[in-house]
Amino acid sequence: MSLLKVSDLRTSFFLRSGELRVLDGVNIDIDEGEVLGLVGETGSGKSVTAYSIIRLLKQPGRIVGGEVRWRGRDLVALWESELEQEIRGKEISMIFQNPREALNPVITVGRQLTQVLEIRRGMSKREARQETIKIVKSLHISDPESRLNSYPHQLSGGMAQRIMISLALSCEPRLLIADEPTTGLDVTTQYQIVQLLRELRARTGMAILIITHDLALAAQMCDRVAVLYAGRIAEVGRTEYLFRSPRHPYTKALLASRPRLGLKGDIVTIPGSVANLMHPPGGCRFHPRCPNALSVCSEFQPPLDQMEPGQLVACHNPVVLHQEAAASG
Amino acid sequence: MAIEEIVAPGTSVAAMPPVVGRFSDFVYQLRGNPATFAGLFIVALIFLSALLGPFVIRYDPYGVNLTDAALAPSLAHPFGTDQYGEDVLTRVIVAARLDLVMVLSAVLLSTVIGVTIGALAGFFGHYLDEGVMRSQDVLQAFPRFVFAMAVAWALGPGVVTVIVATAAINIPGYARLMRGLMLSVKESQFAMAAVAVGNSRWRLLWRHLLPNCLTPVIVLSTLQCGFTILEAAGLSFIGLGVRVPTAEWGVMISMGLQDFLQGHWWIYTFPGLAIAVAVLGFNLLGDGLQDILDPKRRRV
Amino acid sequence: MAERAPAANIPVLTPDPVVLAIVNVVKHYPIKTGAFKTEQVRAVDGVSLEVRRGETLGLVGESGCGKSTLGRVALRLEPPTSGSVRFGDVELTSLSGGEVRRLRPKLQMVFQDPLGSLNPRMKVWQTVAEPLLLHRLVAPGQVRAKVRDLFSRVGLSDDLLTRYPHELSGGQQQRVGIARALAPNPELVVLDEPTSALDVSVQAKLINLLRGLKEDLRLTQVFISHDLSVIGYLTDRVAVMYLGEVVELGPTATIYTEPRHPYTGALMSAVPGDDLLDRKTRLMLPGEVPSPIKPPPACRLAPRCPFARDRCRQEKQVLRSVGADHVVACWRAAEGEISTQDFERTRLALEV
Repeated sequence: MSLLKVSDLRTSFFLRSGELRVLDGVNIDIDEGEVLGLVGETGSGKSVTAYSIIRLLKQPGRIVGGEVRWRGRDLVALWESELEQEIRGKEISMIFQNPREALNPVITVGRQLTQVLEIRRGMSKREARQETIKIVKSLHISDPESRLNSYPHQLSGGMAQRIMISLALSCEPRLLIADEPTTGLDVTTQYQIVQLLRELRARTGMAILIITHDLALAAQMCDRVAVLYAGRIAEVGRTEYLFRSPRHPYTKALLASRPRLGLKGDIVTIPGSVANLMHPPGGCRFHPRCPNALSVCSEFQPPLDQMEPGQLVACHNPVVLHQEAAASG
Repeated sequence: MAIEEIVAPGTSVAAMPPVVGRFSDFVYQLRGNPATFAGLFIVALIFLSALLGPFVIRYDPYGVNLTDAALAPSLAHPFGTDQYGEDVLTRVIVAARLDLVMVLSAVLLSTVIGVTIGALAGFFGHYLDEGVMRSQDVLQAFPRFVFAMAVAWALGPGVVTVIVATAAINIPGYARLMRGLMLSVKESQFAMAAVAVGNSRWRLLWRHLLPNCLTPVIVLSTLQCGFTILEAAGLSFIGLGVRVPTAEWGVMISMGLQDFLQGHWWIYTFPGLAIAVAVLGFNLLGDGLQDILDPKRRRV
Repeated sequence: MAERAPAANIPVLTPDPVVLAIVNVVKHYPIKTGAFKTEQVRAVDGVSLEVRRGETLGLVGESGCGKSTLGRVALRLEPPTSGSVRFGDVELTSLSGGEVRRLRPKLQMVFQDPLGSLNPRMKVWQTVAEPLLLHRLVAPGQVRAKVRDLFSRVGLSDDLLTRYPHELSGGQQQRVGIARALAPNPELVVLDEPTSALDVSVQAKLINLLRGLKEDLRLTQVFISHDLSVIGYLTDRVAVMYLGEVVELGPTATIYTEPRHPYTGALMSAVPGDDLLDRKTRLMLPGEVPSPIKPPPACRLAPRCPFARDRCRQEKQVLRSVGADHVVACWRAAEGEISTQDFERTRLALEV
């Protein structure tokens, strides 16, 4: 049984101008200890997916359909109190973009950590302090004592992110949801955080759901990657296959639109702009911009089909692999 | 997690910057905010009274008629009559005009002066800023009403006095607000872009910075109207403003209290209610405007 | 094409191979660190560069390196604490406010925040028209036509003319910013992280636009970014900055394939290659970038540098030549003691 199984999740935002169908049938599953990347651009719905899973959505957003099964239990059907006591922060933890803003600005970071331990794990002040130092040391933060006495705004971005990770780990979750964990951080700091997350996964065996627009990050960190476009999964599969031989035209185009040093001439871009979620295109949401579009694409939404074992694509006319490329994998 | 971060760019969502909206949008906001609508209604009523009052009344507000003195409320006189036989309802309606004129003038005056000095202080900084802010400190150090009384005593009672006194005590509020706004908008990227394009300092201030500071000022002004009514009425009540027998709510209350022991409650109660309702109306409207104009609090 | 419309009050400068010469520019900001203590943030601490006509010069570095500050000082949007910035034969730092304003059409900037750099209360056509009107570059009747022309040049349709900034997408907003910068026919455009706030696919389109403009208009550009892939693609030469100083400067291709300064080496090893899956060995610098209030004396990288020696901690590093048009501020690199191969062989611990 997979750890997390999201089936046909649908979330909408109810605005004055109409219903914004942000998520329109998202399917994700994560196994124990797996690192899954959810990749997409602005408007794809990736952050909304994360918030929907642990139900942190605010009005006017609402889950309108589908299930989110955590170890068999449907999180969508749970009471808020159950979710809060048993799931959030305990079994599923989340870290956010902009770590310095996500932390409470008027409490020292040390206190924020010990508070969680005292309340959630019933530790005494002394025990909590010791455990905090232990956690913080395991994240390679030097001079933990003085760091813990700082306020969030006194920390650098990378340090604040480590603190947030400490907070998220304090109750030993089975799944960590990381929403753009490295965006806004320096390149060298990003690399440090990636190494850190890898090490944590190896040590604790927890699963990680990484939400990002950074393809390079996904390639470096994830076992499997799911590509999200306009509220639907376009493609999902093992990282090596997805990056080397993408089957969905969107994935292919996205990978091709990175600027590279030796590239001569213009970067190949995706024509048009992101789908309008208020009045989405009929059928496959990508079809107006797709080089492979057929007439069926505008009428029927393609189901997520298995191409090769573990490789799912939602496309009527997926990218054809050349024999050589397929052979070399 | 703001709507803008989730929604695909290009979709037109209502949640955007202030005052750049359409009328239908304004109506939509009002529908979601009944308190604001009530405030708007009350304020409109007051304006209507002020504009049309003298044309719809049946009695002469200054028509002394001792035979009809101090009559309790009845069909002929819904608010009763005062000690001089003047119809209270008529006077309440007519007073709206005077009170509104005083309040609007005072608020306008304090807004213009306060915003100007606050903007200059915030924009130029250094000595000008220090000088202006310290002067505002001095001004605010006086208890508000005592200060107003002092001004009124110096200038002698009258409408102009009320306007000047209530305007003066409210200037520091605007100055501080504007200075704060200016300090922050000065650092914005579009301000720097405006400089990069070749705006002179004055043009930057006038064309780019000021227009983007207006929203909180509008809200404050609206709220201020309510409080100024109280202050103006208060000054008139103690005799430093408008005098008896002018139809003005504060004066009417003081007149009414002269007859307190005789139990002619209607003479002071109704003007008092008028003041209360007016203050309520402006407050509701001001709060509501704040909700409507702040992109984060708008109804989407 | 880009014919100059000579405005009456702009001095005509002779075409010079060097558009902008930055000499020893220093920019410090005072900051209150205690109730009575004020310290200096040494944002830019002695940078000398030249911007050559027709080139795209990249300024790359991480947060706190001073690249954005340098961009602003170079355009005289802020006065330097010391140093000189020459535009042709005009010394920018000694000009009065009015004189600087008259030169503005020649020196333009595109800003980082696409929405924040546009006045929320002005329609976008007004924003683009403003430089034309301020400097009387175009007859009043022609303004609308010129704005239309600029819009089409940056790929914006006419129906967007009367929109407000918040009614446009990020990519469109940034195009407006570019149109505004191009309006007065500048000689130099500084772009401060113009694509950082945009999605990959939107960024790609904007980058193509910038490349096209560079070719069509033969625009001289300074491109500031922390995104190494974009810099690698767009620029001719690149200056790498660390803590307020330039540590390496040279042709982009050389710097990317054969970095000589350890910091550059660390940065370059983090650039994703063509194959994103290649988990190559990275040169990691331990710790984090120190605060610009108290930068390390002498070589600023020394506390974190795996190749540091005593001399590094004592002797202030200057830019020395290591090849054609290629300078490095590292004595070990200049004397051949360390090279690109060394960077590929070294990896370090995670202690922060």
